[in-house]
Amino acid sequence: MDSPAQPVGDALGLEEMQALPVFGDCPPELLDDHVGAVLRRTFRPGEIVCREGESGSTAFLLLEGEAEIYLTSPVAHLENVYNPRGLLGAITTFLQAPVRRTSTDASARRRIPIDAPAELSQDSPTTTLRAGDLFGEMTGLSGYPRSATVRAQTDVEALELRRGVLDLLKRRSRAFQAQIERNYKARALASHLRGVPIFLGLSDAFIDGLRERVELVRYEPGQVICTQGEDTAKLYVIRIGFVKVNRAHGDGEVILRYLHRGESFGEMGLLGAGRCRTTCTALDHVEVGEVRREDFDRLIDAFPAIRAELEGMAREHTERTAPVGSGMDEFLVQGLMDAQDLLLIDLDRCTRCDECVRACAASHEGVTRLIRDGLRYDRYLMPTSCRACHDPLCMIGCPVGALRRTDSLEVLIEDWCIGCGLCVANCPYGHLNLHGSGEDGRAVAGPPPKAIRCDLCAELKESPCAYACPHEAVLRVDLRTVAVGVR
Amino acid sequence: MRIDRGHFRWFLFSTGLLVVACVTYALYARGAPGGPTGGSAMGLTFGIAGTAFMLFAALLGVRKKRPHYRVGRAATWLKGHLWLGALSFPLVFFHAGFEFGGPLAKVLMWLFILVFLTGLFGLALQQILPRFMTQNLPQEVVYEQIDHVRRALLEEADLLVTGATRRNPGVSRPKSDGAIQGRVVESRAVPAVQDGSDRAPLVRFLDKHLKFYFQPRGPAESPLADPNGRQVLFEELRSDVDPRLHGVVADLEAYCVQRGQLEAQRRLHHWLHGWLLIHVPLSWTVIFLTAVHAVMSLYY
Amino acid sequence: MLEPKTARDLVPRVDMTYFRRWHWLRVARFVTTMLLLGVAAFWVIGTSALRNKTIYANGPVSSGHSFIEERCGSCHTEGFRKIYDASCLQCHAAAVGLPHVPAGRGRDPACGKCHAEHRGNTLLSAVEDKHCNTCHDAHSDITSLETHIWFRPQPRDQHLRFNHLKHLDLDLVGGPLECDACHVVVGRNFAPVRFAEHCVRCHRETVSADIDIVVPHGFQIGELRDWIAAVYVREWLGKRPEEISPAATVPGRGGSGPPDWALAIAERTRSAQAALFQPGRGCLLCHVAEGQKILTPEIPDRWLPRARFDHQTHRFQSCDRCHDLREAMSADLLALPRVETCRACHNRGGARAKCVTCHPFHPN
Repeated sequence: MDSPAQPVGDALGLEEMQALPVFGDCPPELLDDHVGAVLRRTFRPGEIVCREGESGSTAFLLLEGEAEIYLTSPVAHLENVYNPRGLLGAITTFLQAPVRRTSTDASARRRIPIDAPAELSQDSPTTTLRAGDLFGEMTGLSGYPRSATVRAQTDVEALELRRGVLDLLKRRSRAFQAQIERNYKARALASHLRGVPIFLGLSDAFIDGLRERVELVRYEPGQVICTQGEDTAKLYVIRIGFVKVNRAHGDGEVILRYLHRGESFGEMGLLGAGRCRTTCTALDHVEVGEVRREDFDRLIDAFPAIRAELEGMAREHTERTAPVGSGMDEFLVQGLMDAQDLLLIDLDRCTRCDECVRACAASHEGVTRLIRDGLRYDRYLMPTSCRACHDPLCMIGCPVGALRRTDSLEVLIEDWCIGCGLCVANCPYGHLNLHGSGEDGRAVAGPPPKAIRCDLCAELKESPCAYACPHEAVLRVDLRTVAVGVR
Repeated sequence: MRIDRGHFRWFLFSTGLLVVACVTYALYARGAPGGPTGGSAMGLTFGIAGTAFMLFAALLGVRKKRPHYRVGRAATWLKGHLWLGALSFPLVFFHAGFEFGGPLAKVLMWLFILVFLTGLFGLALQQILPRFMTQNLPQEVVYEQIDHVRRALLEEADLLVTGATRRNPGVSRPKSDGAIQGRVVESRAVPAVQDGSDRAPLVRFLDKHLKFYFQPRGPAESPLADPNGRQVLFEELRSDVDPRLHGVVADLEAYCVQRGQLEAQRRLHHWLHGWLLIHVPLSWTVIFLTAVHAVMSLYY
Repeated sequence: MLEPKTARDLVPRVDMTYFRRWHWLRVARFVTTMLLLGVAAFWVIGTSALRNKTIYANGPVSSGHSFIEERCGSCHTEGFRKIYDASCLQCHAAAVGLPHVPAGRGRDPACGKCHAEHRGNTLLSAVEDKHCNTCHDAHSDITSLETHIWFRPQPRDQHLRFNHLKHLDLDLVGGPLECDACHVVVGRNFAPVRFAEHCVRCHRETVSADIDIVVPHGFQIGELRDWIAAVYVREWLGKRPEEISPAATVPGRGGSGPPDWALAIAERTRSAQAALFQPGRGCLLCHVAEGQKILTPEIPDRWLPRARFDHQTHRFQSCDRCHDLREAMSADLLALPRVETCRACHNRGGARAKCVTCHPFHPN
């Protein structure tokens, strides 16, 4: 990523900081430690404050003026083309994919979660920030790339806060935290609550009522939010940060997914439908909005129809048993343990002809998701293709929450990927790539990059790479059920 | 393609067909007053069957143009190519009555024999070379990237030697544990050595040996190509330089090993794919001439 | 063990579009294919343009047709059809002759069935036995000289008794007879043996051995009566004119019936006739009679008409090489060789032993 531009602004001195209302609650001795960590920035109308995808380490607090926050990357994705056009198109469609599995994943998000008080809609990803809005909070706290582009619409005066100051404000400044909470509840919380599956179709009145009962709680990195097996009786909605969801299994744990801003967990506990089935841990600086069951029960008394519906859902949930992985393998080599759906190339059969790569590219709009290089184990090569890891590290840190894990193990990348490349950097196996970029993964001027990855070709009975290998050298194995022979 | 148990049904089928063809030919050849000839009914039957199998074999090339089309797995097509293509060989001889015929037919027959032999050769290579490469090239890269990696290695070696502080990903050392082989790629920031240790021997070594070895044609003549020679030279280098730089020397040696492997990989890849340079053009010519032969022989 | 970050560091070294690039191996393969195809096409089109279609031939034409080798249209008159007999008959009508298969028994095969062209610089007329056997082994089980049946001369019964052995043992004219005393070569075969030319030299008086006159050859006994009687009359007339009395010559005077001398002549004639007609003597020494009629000998000019044998080509063999009279033949007229005799030289590796060597398909 490009190095951050040199800030052009004045570092505030102690007196200046103390003069600002936002620092009112902070003890001066603590403020003293952070002299020089706050910059006053001014922007003229039309000036870019920050760009999406850039790296950063600061948050911006708007003091005056209005700024527009939006995504410049087109909301688009590379799609497997199965569009029939005429007879020839019908024939080629038939030839390419006569057998499709139905996808088990149903959720479709409408709103793009960004690192700002509001969320953007997919159709028109732009909104306005006003005085008192804090954006770039996750960037400042945890160093994630900028999630969106901000441009001043009027004359804007803003404070650029480094991590230490931000941390101090969050801990000590009640006014600061109250402002954040207010903003969140007013602009984003409703859509987050609607994102909870059981609340999807409920009335505005109910949602409003629920909104009042949300309490924001902060968690430090590594802190457990809820433990598997306990009856926490709370609904959690994530305001910022990433939460690791794992389930104990045998002696170890299975990481199911990482949740980001706007996602929720624990709703079944809220309904009294059982204990926590997973352990949720804060991965970085996490703030969640919590709704306690007592508050919820009081609310729901006013909505008897909804109560009946929710109770029905609760019953259904307790009856349904979700499949759990059948246990860890003995295969203790790093990386293989992660894989649930692993692509292997038998090098004793492979003639290095690249048919698999060509087939992958041909079924994915000309962009291959498979690169025939990687680590080798015994006579097997593990090329770069998604392994559907137990621990999907790629999901951590996406500034726009574009990585989503489905029930069938795929990690999907949403259309609004801004091409920042964090997931690419996170994947330990290099299986994510930026498409539309130049060599070495560096973004070049031109079509904006999008992250792409092997999608396991879940729609097809047999993935094109295995189908096209003339030497039967490409294997897909699930290490939980198949033992890979090692000499 | 490795011939293994998965081919058994194809083998049975082909052998059965071959036996039937042999018996038929024997009966036909004995009974024909003028001897077996391509234009007789039986001869034409053999000819058509042989050509049909040849055409199917040729279609493999077309199939590979659309690897993702669901018209049968590529492995099945290749098995068909092998077995039916091999069957076409005796069938064509039965058609010709083991005569080579006139000018066009003679040329066609010889080309066909060449196609068959090169195909057998390629098949034999495919039984041996992949395993050979797997076992002897733990640091194999994608073939098209060999030059790129070679240049990158030279750059890294250069930076190492001159002592620039830089993170150098891509230094790769083979590491194995039992049957498991792989690479350890380490990144290490080599700090500029501040204590005045002399990097001159390294620079000399770089200029004298490494730069040449890392040229495209280097391995042919450089002493570093030979493991013994390499060991000797590096021992010398180690004795020449400051012990603090021994880590650098170890890295340089790892680079050399990798460079050698790249060259070996290039050569092996050429063997594994070079026979196609004869097999494919000849087979398309055979197809073309077969069409000409069929039409013109029937015309006359 | 291996670090988890290792693969990620490898990946940037691989350009994601590497497989689409035209590396020199692919280029070379493509170029070579196009080149070879071009050469082949050039060859095919070039020879066609030069009107030289001989590359499509299955092999060189036979030596006799080499002058039209370049003129394919001489015989290949229609495309995608085989060559009809009419094409051959354009030049070879005279040589072909009559149909081989008798009318009503089937059709003659096409010319090309036995005379296969484009087999190299061959003699097209040398047809192998296999071709004959497409019909003949079904009909007669004869497939080659090895399986040839014994020779059956026609007619079976010659109505003549002749003993070659005896003729070879005679002490005549200073020694036994040579074959060519009677068998004179004319062209491929021999002139017919005639009594008047050959037998008469020794047998002029053999017939008449038992009588006192020499009768002419070639008459039935009945026909000879008057001749014999006339001889006797002449003889009587010549010897005893005085015995002729006027009274004896006038019918009706001097007693009843013919005169004695007439009776004597008649008697003599009768006894001469009887002597001539004795079994094994006289006429019947050689001839065969049925009742009172001597059967005409049936001595054909050619004993084996279905084959063609050329004595000229065998002139360097002595007659007894093939015609073995001492052992094989008994008192028999014919001394034709047996098929085993022919096989002694006409075998695989020896003289030509094909069907057509002796049995030409085309009568001319």
